[in-house]
Amino acid sequence: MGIADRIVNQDAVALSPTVGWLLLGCATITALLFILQGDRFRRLWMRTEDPRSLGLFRIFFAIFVLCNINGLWEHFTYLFTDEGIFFSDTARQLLASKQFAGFGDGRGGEAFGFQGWPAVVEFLKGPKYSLLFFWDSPTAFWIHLTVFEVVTILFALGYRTRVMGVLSFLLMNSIMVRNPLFWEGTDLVYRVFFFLLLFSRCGHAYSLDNWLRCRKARKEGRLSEQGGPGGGAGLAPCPEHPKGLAAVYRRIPAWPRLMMILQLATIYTYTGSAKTGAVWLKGDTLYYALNMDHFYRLPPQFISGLFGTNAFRAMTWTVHIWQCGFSLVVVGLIIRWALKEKFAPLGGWRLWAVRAAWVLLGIGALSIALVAYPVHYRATPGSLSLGATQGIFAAAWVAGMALIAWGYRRLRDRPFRVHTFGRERTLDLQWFASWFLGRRVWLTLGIMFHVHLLVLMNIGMFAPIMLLTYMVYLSGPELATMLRAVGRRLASAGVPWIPADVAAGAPRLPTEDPTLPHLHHDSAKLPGWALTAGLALIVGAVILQAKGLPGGLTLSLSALGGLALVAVVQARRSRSDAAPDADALARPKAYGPLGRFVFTGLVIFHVTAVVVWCLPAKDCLSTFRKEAHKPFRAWLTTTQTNQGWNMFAPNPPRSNVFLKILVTDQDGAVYDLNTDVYAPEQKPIPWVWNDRMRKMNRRVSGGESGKGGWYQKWVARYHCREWSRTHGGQPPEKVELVKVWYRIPSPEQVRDRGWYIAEQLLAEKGHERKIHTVTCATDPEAQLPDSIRARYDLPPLAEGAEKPWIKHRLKRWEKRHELAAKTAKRAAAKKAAAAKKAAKRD
Amino acid sequence: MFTAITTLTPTAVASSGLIAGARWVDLAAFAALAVVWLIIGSIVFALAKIIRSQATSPGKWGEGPGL
Repeated sequence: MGIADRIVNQDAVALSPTVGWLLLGCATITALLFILQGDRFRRLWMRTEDPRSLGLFRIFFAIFVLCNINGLWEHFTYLFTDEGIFFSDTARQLLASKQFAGFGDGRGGEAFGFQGWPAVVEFLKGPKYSLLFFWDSPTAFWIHLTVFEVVTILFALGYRTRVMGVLSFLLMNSIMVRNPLFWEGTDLVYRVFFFLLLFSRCGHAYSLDNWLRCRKARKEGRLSEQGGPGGGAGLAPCPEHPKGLAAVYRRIPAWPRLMMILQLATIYTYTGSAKTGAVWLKGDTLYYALNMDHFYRLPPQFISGLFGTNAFRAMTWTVHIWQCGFSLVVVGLIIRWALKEKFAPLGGWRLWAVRAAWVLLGIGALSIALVAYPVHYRATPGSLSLGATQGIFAAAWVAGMALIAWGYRRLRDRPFRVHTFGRERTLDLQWFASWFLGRRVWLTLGIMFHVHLLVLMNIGMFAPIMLLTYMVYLSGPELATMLRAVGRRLASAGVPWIPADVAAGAPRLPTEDPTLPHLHHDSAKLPGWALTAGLALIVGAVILQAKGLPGGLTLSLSALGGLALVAVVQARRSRSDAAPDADALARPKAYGPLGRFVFTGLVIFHVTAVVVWCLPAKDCLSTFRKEAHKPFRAWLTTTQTNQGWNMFAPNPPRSNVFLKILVTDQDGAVYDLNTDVYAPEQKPIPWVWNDRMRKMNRRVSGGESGKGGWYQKWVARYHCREWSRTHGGQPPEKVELVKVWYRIPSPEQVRDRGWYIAEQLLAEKGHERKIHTVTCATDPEAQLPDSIRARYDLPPLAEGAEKPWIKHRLKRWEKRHELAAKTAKRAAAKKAAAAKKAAKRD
Repeated sequence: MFTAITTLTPTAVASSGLIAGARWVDLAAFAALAVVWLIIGSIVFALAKIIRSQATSPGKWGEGPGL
């Protein structure tokens, strides 16, 4: 409803093309910045690193994946089987109609199954791949689930890690895409991180794979161990060990972890920026979030009366600012990494080009804000005029740019020295990046936020997974050092099974020696001119596309082909490289030349895709946003990484909304199924275990995001069938869905007039509205079919009692193909005629 | 609309005072909040120890600043 009623701001739409060109300009400058500092960019992304961070992450992640899916256990049948809300073919039609366009359901005279190879190809195009679209009886589902659980446990244990990871990812999504009714932000977090984790070699640490490898190498005398040659870090071939010794912890490509770091920053920056509503500005979000009856573990009304207008506001504002600024932690990480790398300073034209690019980028961003602001400006009595507001903003922005430029160089080259507590302290770039852009600040704030959520509110596996993702911000050695410290303390507290070297406080094992000869030390790289030419072609392709001219695809493919060709040439040349110098030896690359080309390309493509996908759905971007999505849609939807993070945005809900389901049986008696927390049995206090029915009820009743209304008839039809199944095959007369709600009092009201008891407020001030009614005898698919009746030894339906939904999918499919064939025939005839005419003329 | 709240809630601040009117379950939220802050306090304490340790023995923590 919200969408249908939304008034389009035509002024904003008129600005959209200008905003689009400015955004393209900023993107081009950003790409140029990377090209100008190509060596730094390559070193950052194509590094190797210790595997322990992602090894430990893998274990917890796999366990959490299991918990997330298993948390749906009460609703497995309802969500994922043909005895649930959707029959098999209904799911195919409603959730993946394009993929199943050539799949007959065996009804209405149509054959069952795919109608030839084109239909299979249509399915394979994706993006929704679920075995449960084909086999979804309860038995089939349980087999599917069992395989998923076994595979995921093996992934956690690190046995055949890569294969098990891929299988677990596919099977998890196979379950999830069978029914999106239960989806919430939590599931999206699992999907996007799982996809990135698949690219990592997370099985190189804390895994059965690594343990088995080390055991084998030890037996063969080829393992470098602590205290022995190489000290556990491996040893190059030498007379004593002609084949060399293998390290315990081999180096792995660092980019998947960096991608996860960026992914987390994307989540917070997106959600923080989307929270533009008045409730966030006023600071009342925590109050409303805590007072949602679907969420709280313990009644928060009393405590809200005390803190709602003071502490909760301070906490809301802190969270909002923290989310908006979270990306600064990535900036801090990269600055500190760059300082450690001790890059040679840029000089000559390159230095000035980089400076110019930064200035242009800043001015470009400012221009976007200035161009788009007028349609967001609302004049109020006493407020600044539009021009004055823009002027002040622009001045502050430019001053901010100047301050950053000056501050960066000052802190780097001439740090401040201050005397505090009798000591001289150096306030340099390292200090600034550690304290103002450091993990110690931004991750600690995040931990504080999520621990509040975890303890006070029950939103399932959201807080645990968000906290877990913080682990990717720690390097392998950092994590190993912490684990050792914890292990030592546990051992001294008498906990058994702690390894002897950990208990004795021995230092952690080192990461693989970077100078080992089997690592990649070649110097191949794409030259700057090739990258610049490639960028020019891609930008040209975008411009052609935006202008509606042909040739965009050709330019894009030329860029890709040309760069690939140069990469191959460079790879061949690097074979005759001289022996690497000490610097190159200390910094092995993640892959060989072609591997680096492929994975750098993948990184750039995926990051661009996510950035473009996350462009806000605003009128001032409306003329190009959908078009911009097109090149990335297939990739993002197929990999399940299409994302949006509008959590509690732009405002949190301010009403408690429930779904009541009433069943009227054949005798006219009405039964309330007590499906939501308005019923005492659905509201255990303290609320410990999550139940997704609450989320589903909010979606179905339209209490959230306004997009779930289409589920209503299917939920009602399910209850017609389910009642039949549990009442000897006898269907009810009708099923009614009722939306129940009450407004949450404002924080001021609770402060001034006293706190409230939710159940009493609902009873006194609640509203009810019938939102959907289904007559079980006549509505399509509201009758329990004979195939399911047979499973429960129920009497079959009377002749003609079943009202199937005849979709005529194949008819449309054949028509489409006939049309396509006719069009092709016509085009061929036209072409032949033109050729004949031309020949005649000649 | 919300004048009703005062009449509804026997525990209204004005009439009966905070603690006297609250049920145990309402006070439990304080305990939960206290647990949160205990957890946060211990995290901050551990973090301070780590930061001090990193400052005094940087080699022990590895070569990189998280990357």
